[in-house]
Amino acid sequence: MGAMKAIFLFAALLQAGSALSAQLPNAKTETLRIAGKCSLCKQAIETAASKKGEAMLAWDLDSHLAELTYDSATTNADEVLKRVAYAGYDNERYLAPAEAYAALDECCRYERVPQAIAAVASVEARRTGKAEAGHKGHVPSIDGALEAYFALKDALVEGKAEGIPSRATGLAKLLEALSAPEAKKTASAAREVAKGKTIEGQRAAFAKLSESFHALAKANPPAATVYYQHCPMYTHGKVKGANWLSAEKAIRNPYYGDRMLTCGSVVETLGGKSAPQHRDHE
Amino acid sequence: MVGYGIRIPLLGLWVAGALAVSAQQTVRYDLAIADTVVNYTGKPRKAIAINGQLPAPTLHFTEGDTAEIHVHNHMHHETSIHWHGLLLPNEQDGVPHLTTAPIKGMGTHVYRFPIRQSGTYWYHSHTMLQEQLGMYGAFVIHKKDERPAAEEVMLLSDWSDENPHQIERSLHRATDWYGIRKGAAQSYGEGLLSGHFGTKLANEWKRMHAMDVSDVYYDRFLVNGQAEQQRARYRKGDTVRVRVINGSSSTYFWLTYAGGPLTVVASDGADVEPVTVDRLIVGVSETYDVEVTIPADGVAYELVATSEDRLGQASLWLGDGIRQLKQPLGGLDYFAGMAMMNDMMTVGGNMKDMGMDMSLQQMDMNAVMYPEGNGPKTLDYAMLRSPQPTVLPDKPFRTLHFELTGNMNRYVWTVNNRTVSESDKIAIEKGENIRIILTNNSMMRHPMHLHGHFFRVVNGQGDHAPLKNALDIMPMETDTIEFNASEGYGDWFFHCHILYHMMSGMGRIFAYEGSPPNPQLPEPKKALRKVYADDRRFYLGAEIGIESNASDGEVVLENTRWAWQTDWHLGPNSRKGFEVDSRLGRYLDKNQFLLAFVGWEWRHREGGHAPRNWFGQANTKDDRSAAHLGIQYTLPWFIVADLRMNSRGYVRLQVARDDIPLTARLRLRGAYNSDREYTLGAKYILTKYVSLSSHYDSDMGWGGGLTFTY
Repeated sequence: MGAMKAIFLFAALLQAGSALSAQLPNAKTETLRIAGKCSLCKQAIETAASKKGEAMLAWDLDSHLAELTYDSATTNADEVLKRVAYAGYDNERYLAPAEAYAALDECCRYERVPQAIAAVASVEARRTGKAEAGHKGHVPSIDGALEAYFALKDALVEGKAEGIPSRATGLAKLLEALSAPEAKKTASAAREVAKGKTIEGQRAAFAKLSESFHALAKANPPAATVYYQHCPMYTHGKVKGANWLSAEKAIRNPYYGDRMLTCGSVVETLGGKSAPQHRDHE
Repeated sequence: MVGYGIRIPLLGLWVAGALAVSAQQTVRYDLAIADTVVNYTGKPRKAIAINGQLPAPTLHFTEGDTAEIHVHNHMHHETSIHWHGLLLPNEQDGVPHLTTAPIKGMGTHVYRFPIRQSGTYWYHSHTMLQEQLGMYGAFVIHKKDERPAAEEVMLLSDWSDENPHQIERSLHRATDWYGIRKGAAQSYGEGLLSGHFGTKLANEWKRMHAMDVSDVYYDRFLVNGQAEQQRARYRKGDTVRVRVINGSSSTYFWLTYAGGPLTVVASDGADVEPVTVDRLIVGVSETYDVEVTIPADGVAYELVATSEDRLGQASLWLGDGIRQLKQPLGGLDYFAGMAMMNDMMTVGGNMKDMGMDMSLQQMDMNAVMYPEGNGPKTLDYAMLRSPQPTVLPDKPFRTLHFELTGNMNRYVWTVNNRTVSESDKIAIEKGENIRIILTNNSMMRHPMHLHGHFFRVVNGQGDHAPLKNALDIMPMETDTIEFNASEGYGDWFFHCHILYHMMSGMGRIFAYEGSPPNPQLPEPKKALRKVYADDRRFYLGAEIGIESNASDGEVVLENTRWAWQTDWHLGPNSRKGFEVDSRLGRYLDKNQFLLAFVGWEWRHREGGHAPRNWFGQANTKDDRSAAHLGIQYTLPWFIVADLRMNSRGYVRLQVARDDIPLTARLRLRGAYNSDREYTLGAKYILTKYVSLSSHYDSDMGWGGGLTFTY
């Protein structure tokens, strides 16, 4: 369509035009203080602050001062500094969100003002608290393998593909040491998880591992209560729905990770003192 | 009564600086309602102000007071004020024509009622779409002998520069303009690039348009009428009670705080045992009291309300100094949501929950679209617990089942597939207990609000079930609420509080048996017709192409069940031809896929054509003037099949698909019929009303021009 082409051409011309005119209309210049530590910071700050046709900013590493030139008809220093803070850099008007600071590169972790530290501390505390949960001492027999399985499951909940092969291999070794007839099959299922290169592949293999482990746990009831849980939404190829074992009744879905953390329901309770099976929805 | 208002005549209006010193117990306010002009975006727009301000002033009372509120309507059209969440005599409830006389243009109305409760409530117009124009304010009732120093009102709302009646009409026309503005068009092209082409195909196969968590594009979100506000008086260690009120017309808000977690202490005015969370969603019309603390001096901490579609936010800064930002909530992954909806929707148009027994906001299916996932601790209704037992009187229960139903494509929203005007009032007996089991079988969440009563939300807290007056229910959820018919008399509205859903008829009226006549409504039958008229209205729409080969156009006038459609294909001369077709039809089935119609058709052309149609009849496509009977059925993938027979026994079948979203703004269409006519067209959407377009027609050939959409 000719008309559409003309519009694209016109838009392209407009953009080229704005790039050529280094001078901004209604230009105003201000000097602003922005925290930062290295040349990486400089790049990130300037990228976050500058907007074509609106604002240009140059930050100096030694003085931590920035020169901002902006079109005073369309924007102001406040808007620019807000963008800089969202990118992780404290400045004279805004403190960066704790999460944005935490996401900065190691070399960019400048020293924050005391007021900002409290907020960061609370975020960090929550993060480490989460990581510690689910790691307990070693227990023999199926319980030991279960512990390793839960650690693998937790890694899948967190969605970190890198840590998974080593955990799966560790689990396979523990399973191979067991004498139960179902253990061998379960061990090879764990090896399949270790072979998975993507998180999707690992999750698909984990679904099979979980079914096999469920049979193993049914034949050899574990000491503590274990919940067999079901996610109806999981899809992989022709497979619809998937199960997993969990030490907690609360749902923490390993197939979707963060995205559908609480999706699922308990379909069976194994081990502990709980012999009777029941359906229970969380 | 001792109490006085100060009135200052200004610009010929009574702008009342309200209020009230009250030695005794009557507290009087004067509210002056007037048309006004606001400017939120650089463009002046009409709005409605109360006492010269938007939002309306916060009204303060103490439990035990008597409220006396004089409302002066300085507008030329009628209005009303509803006291949201208050327990009061029925004729004071403020639903025009249902409980209370409407306040006529230039008229005055006095509300008078005892204050029997405490907590955070609000008030708003219950007339047409006035709420969207700014007619809302906070209504705060303090407990006796208690007036905490550190408390703030955070009244949230949504603002659009577009006239609300245009918004409403556009929603009924299934406009995709709001999706384009939001970057949520979810076209095939975007699907292809993100690996979701199949997802989009499956979605349209199941007759679903682009999915979203909200329907309207808003220009601004407001806290107390502004994009942001600051309360600088707070210092380190202060705990601030924030009375959060969602006074928006159709926006849910996420609430997060830069200075730490939020402690929820009340919902919809009723206290709950404190529960601490990272975030909560505030449904339309809900109120929550939250407590936050100020961690340090020299900093203002951001309390942020983010629209559920995450396209905007409004902030309240607490404290003084450098501003500590809260990490914004990242944008929604619409295609992930679409894939989830595909799993949940049957081809027949029903929602299935896959046996997950969802309820009480505990499983937020929208989380598939959140980049931050389900990590932050989020409030749900199961966490709310009343400090006192809320057991209902030992009376028999009557159970009602309400299925929330709707049709996104035609913007028809119903309960048990019936609008307010299509259903009888529900008679209730004074003193009996009513249990309502609500199931949401629609694709949107609905904040269901009951007038004049608290209900208990049955949420696993036993005798301590929390009291609320508005309940958010997500798609596929089932929730149970219970209340005692304790108010004595009158008609009480129960409805979805999304303004455009309510106006399309999503609600029911509870009527106490044996109620005395309402002195404010001397002609009850006529008044009820006025109430019912809201959801019987017709909406006009049109798509008119002016192109070099011909004008193709369609004008439709539709309401909940009826549709009058007229279309034409007019060439420049009789060689290209002239066709006009007009029909009146009624949607017959629950999903409104099936329309039966009668109509009339005229066409004339001197161009030659295929001698016979598909059915072996002599082809009359170039010379016809006949009445016809027929049906239209929307097939999967939105293919509309139109089968008709005319008064001469001639049969025609046509299949057509409009508005295939190729890219965010590019649409394709095509049609083929048994007269062996066909057409193919494309349009590129420039603005809400104008597109560049081109089409080829078997009769008229190629052409290009503009298409106007209304």
